[in-house]
Amino acid sequence: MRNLILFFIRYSSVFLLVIYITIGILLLVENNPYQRHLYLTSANSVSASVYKTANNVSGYFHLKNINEELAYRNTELESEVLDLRQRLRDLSATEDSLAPFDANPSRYNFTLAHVINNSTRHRNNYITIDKGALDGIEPEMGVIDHNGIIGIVEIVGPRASRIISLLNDQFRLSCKVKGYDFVGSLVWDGKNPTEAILEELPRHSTFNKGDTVITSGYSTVFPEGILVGTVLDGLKDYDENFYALKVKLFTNHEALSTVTVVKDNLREELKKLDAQDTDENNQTRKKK
Amino acid sequence: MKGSTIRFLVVSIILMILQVCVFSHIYLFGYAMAFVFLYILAAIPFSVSLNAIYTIGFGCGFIIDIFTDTLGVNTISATLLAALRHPIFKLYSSKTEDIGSLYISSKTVGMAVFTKYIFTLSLIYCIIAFVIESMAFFNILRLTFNVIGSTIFTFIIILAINSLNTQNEKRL
Repeated sequence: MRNLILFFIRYSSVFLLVIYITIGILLLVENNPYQRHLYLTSANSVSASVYKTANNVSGYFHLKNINEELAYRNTELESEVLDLRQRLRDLSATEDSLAPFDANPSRYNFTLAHVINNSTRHRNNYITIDKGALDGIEPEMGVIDHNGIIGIVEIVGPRASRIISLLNDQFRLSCKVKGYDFVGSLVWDGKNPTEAILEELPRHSTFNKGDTVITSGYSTVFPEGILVGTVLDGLKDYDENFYALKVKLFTNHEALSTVTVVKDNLREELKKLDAQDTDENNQTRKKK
Repeated sequence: MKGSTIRFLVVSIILMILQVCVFSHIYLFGYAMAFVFLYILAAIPFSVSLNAIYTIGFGCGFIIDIFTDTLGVNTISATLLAALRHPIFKLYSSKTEDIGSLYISSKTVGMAVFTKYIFTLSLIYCIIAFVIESMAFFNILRLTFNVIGSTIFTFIIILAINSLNTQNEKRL
């Protein structure tokens, strides 16, 4: 304490000078509008840059929460887009311009989930997510992420579910090239986890490299228009009767984190209609 | 109290009154202003403690600011000048210890040293004061004219005050 006092006494002139200058600056800023404005402007820019740097550092620690919120918002927006697409199709197809805009409720619901287990190196790959029956997940629901197709729900537990990945022998998905009506089946050939094959296309069909491949909507699993990938190359010798395309997948299956499970509200109704149709065909055959 | 100290106090008061009432309202050709109270800061003996010099500088600047409605400008400038006066003097002479408790004037330090000392003090004060007042260099030409004009005007007035004040002092 004594040394501290001696220090202050020894350098008292310096401290006094600093105090006087500080008082002078305060007087200058407080009582002169022009200097006050300049001080506030420069102080604002200095403090803004300091706050920006601090925010960049602290913002990094909030990325997880922000990511969750963005994924949730993305799910909502995807549902909205699909709903609007459906309405647009209905409006453009109908001749009655007075048809109510809200005639069809939203067909698809989306549930956010996190990937807790994943594989890409096997012939048949599966993904496990942290949502199950208690969260409304059912078998044969489609799973997508912000890039594209992930897979289809296979087994559902109370709080977790297993998904057949796109990178799986059992996986087949009805897809088409955007802008064309030809529909094919997307399968994985077991070689490259970033590429798949769109097969069973008509041999006379022609496509361009870079064309976008999307879901066709001819299933109760995925809505129409979900991105799948881009055309890399044509495979004329893949099959004797059909044409095939090599597709570069949008989704990075090796880095999955947040996914969306798609529920088709018309799935049960469509399945009943399919079953009814099958029964009728069987009965017709028996009669013959 | 010594006679010289009383004399100095009287001169200081007169200079402050003159600065406030007369010289703060004189703007020669629109550029030059005289800061005659700088003589007070320049003349204080080097034997006076730094704390006292800083306080005198702060006090003089503050009083001028109150009367001229430029709070902070002269306060900062005079305080800085009080801190710089010793190093500035050392640029031109190393006889600070010989001067001791004598008031700085042309008779105690010599005309050549005193002239250079006063000119440098005036220049530095004018630069600091005008830069703080404008807080920008956007009108560099006007700022230059203000500084040069005020420096010369202040220098001439202080030399005149010095010659009036030192008529009866002995030369070292």
